[in-house]
Amino acid sequence: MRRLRAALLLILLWPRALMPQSYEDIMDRLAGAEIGDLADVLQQMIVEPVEINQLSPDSVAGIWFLTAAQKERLAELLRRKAPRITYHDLMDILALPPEAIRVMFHAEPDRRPQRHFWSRLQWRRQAAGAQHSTRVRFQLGAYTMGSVTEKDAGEPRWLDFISGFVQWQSPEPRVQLLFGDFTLQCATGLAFSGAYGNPALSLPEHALRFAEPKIAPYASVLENTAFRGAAFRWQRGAFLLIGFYSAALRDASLDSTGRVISRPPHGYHRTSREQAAARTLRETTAGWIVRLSPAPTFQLGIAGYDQHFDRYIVNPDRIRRQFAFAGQHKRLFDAFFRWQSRSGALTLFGEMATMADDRAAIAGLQYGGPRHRFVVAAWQAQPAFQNDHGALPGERTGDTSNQTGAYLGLTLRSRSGRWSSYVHRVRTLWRTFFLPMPVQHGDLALLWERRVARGFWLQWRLRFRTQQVMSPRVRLPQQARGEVLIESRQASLRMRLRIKLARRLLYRFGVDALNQKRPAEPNRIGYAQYHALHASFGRWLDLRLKWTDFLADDYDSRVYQFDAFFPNWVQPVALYSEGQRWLVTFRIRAGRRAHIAGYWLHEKRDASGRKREFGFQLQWQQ
Amino acid sequence: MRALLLMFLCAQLTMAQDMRFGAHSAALGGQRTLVQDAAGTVFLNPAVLMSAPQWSFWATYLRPFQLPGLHSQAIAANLTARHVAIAAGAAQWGNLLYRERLLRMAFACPVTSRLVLGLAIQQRTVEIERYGRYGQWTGDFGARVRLSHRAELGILIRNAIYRRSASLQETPRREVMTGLVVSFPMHLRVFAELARETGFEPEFRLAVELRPISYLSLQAGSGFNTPEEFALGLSLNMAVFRLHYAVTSHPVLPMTHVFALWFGSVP
Repeated sequence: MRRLRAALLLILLWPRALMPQSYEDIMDRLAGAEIGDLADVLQQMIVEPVEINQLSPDSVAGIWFLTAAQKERLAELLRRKAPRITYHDLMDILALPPEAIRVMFHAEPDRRPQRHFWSRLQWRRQAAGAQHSTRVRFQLGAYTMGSVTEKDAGEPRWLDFISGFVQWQSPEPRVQLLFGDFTLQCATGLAFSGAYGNPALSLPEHALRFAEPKIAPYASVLENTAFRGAAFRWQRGAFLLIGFYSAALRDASLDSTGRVISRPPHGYHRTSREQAAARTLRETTAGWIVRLSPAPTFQLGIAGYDQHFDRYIVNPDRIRRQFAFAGQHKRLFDAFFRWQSRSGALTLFGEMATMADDRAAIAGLQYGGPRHRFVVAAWQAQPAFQNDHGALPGERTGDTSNQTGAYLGLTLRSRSGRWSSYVHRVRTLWRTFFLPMPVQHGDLALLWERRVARGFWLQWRLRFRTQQVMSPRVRLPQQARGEVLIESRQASLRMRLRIKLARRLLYRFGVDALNQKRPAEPNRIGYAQYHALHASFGRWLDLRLKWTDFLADDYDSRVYQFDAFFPNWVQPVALYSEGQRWLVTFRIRAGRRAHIAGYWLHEKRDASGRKREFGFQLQWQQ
Repeated sequence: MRALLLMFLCAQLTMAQDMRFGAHSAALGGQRTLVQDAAGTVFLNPAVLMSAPQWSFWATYLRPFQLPGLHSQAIAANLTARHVAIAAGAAQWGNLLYRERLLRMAFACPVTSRLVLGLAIQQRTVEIERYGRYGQWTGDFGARVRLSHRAELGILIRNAIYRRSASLQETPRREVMTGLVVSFPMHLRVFAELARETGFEPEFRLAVELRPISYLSLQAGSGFNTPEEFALGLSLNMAVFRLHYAVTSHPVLPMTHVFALWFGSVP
C-alpha cells in the first residue's frame, strides 16, 4: 500500500509520467523556457522531492527526465538496496550534480561522512570565439564546496566570471549554512525567484509553482543574479527561518558624473564599453524569510529585504521610460500562504509584496488528480514595484513591474490521450511611450499527446497568439514612425513524433508551421521540420544526428527548436531566414567515472551564411 | 516563334528536374513519399520499393498540360526479395528543341523491423538544339518508417547528393518531403505530405484513396501552395495487369492526363 501510494504520488508529481521522454522533449514541451542546464531546469520545476525509498522498481519508468540507462540503473538499485538508498548511492548511479539529486529525491542521509567529487568542463568554439565553463562540486560529509567559472565567446579575459560557495548542512536538513554565492526561492517567486525566473506560461503542470523557501548554492553562469555573502536556514517543527546578507558587484553603465544610467543583465564583457561596465555597482542586500506551517496542509510566511546601491541610479529617459527605478535604496516586504485540502486535490495559494508604495499580488488555485488538472491564477504588479530578485509568472528574474495577467489551464487524461489547453492574457497598465496606452499579449493553445502504439509517441499543438507590436510602417499624426501599436495575430501548428525503430535506435520527427498576420502588412510564414536519429551502443556510447530544414520570412515569424548540444545542456535556437542545420552529438562513457561528450554543428543560412561550431564536455565524478 | 519556345523551355529547366512520372502519384495530388506504383516507384521514394510486387514491368505516358509537341514517357522494371529490392527505369520528355533523358536505379533494404532505407541514383541528360548536350548525376535518399499497423511515415530527400555539372551551370535544388499515410477500415487511406524545395515555400498535399471493390481504386488529392489545383484518378486491377489513369488541373494551363500500365506478380 505504501509503495502504491508512492507510485501515485509520482504520477501526480511528474508531468510526463508513464510517457518517458528525453530532456530535449521536456524543453520542447515547455516551449519558451530559456534555461540551458538540466540541473537548473529541475531546480525550477520540481518543488517537492520524491521519496525514493518508497518507490517500486516498476515505477521508475515514469520518471520523465531520466534517460533509459539511468532508469535501468535506478531500478536495479531499488531492487538491491531499497529502503536504505542514500544520496550518495543516487549520485553514484545517476551521474548528476549533488544539488540536482537533492532537488529531485528524498533519500536516507549518508550514515558516515561521504566523499563525493563531481566536475564538468565545457568548451565550445563559436564564430565569435571560444567559450568555456567549469563546474566543480566537492562533498565531504555535511560540507559541500563548489565553484563555477565561465568565459563567453568574444570575451578577452580567460576567467570572466568566478563563483563559489561553501555549505554546511546537518544530516536531517534542519540547519543549513552557506558562504559564497547563492540564490533564494520562495513561494510564487514574487520576492525571490532563483537565478532564472518563473517557468514559461504554457502547460498547466509547469506554468505556476509554489516553491518551498530554500537557499540554492549558485550553479549558473548568469553573472548578475546571484547573492554573494552568507545565508542560513533553520527549521524546527513547523517553523522555518532563512536569513541572508549579500554584497555583490553588478554590471552598470555610468555617466560622466558617476551615476548609473543602465544595468545590463546579460553579463557579456566583449567590447570596451561592456568591459567598462563590468562590476561597477555594489549592491548590498540583507533579508529574511519566515515560514510557519500550523498544519501539514497549511503554511504561511513573510519575507523581506533591504537593498542598497553604492551609486545613485538615474532614469536617463524620463519621457520614454517613465517608471524606471531611480534612487539608491529599495525595501521589500512580502507575505504568502498556501492551503491544501486533505486529499491534496485542491490547493489555494497567494502572495503579496510591497515596494516603494506600490504593490504586486498573485492568487491562484490548482485542482487535480491523476487524470485531470485545472489551474487558474491572476496577478497584478504596479509600475514602481521593481524587484531585482523576483519574477512574475512566465517572466525572468527582475521582471516584476507594470503588469496585469491571468492564466487558466486544463489537462485531461483519457484513453484518447492527454489533452491540455491553456489561455493567458497579459497587459501592461501603461505603455511608457509618448502616448500612454495598454499593451496586451494573449495565448490560446490546445495540445494533444498520446502513446499511439508500442514505442510510438505523437504530439500536436495548435496555438493562437495575439500581441500588440510596434509597426515600422504605420504612421499617425501624433506618433512617430515605428511607435504605433498594431495588433499582430499568429497561428502556429506543431507536431512531434517519436518512435523506437529498434532496441537501441530512436527516431524523432518534428514540424513547426506558423502564419502571422498584421494590418497593412503582408502575411509572414515560418516553417521548420527536423529529423533526428539517436543510437545507443550499450552504456558506453550515444550518437545523435539531427537535420533541420527551415524557412521564415523574417525574425518576427521565427520558429524555435531545442537542440541538445550536450546530454545535459539544451538550448533554444531561433530559426529564421532560409537554411539547413546539421547537428551531430556524441557521448562516451569512459570508465565508471568519466563522461565525454561533444557536438559538431554545421548551419547554412541565407541571412548569415555558413556557420560551423563544435564543442566538448568532460564530466568526472568520484 | 522557335526562339520564344526555346525561351519557354529554358525557363522550365528548374521545373524539368521536378517532372513527375506515374499516374498513381499524380492522382494523389503529387504525393511521392509513400506511394507505391510497382516498378514506377523507382521515380518516387526508393524505400517504398520493399512493398512493391516481387517483379513488375511498368510504363507511363503523359502530355504535360496538353502542350503541342511535348511528350513524356517512362518505363521501369523491378525485383523485390525479402531483404532487398532493386529497380531500374528510363524516362524521356521534351520536344524537338529540348529533350531530357533520365536513367535511374534504386535500391532498398530493411534496416530494422520498422525502418526501410532506400537510395536512388539518377543520370540526367539534357539536349538543347544548337546548344549541345549536358549530363548530371544526382542521388535521392529515402526512408520509410512503420509507425503502427495503420500508420507509416515516409521521408524523401531529392538531390541529397549530386555532382555539379560545369557545362550545365546549374545546381540541383534539394527537396525534402515528409509524408504520413493512415489506413482506415473499408480500404480507405489518407495521405498527407509536407514538401519544400530550396528557395520555395513549403507545399502541403492531402489525398485519399478508396478501394470500394477489389478491382477498382479511386484517388483524389489537392493541397496548399501546390502547382496542381486538384487531381483525380482511378486504378483497375485485372489479374496481373493494372491500369492507372489520372487527371490533374492547373490554375492557368489545360489539364494533364496521365496513363500508366503495369503487369507483374500479384502483390
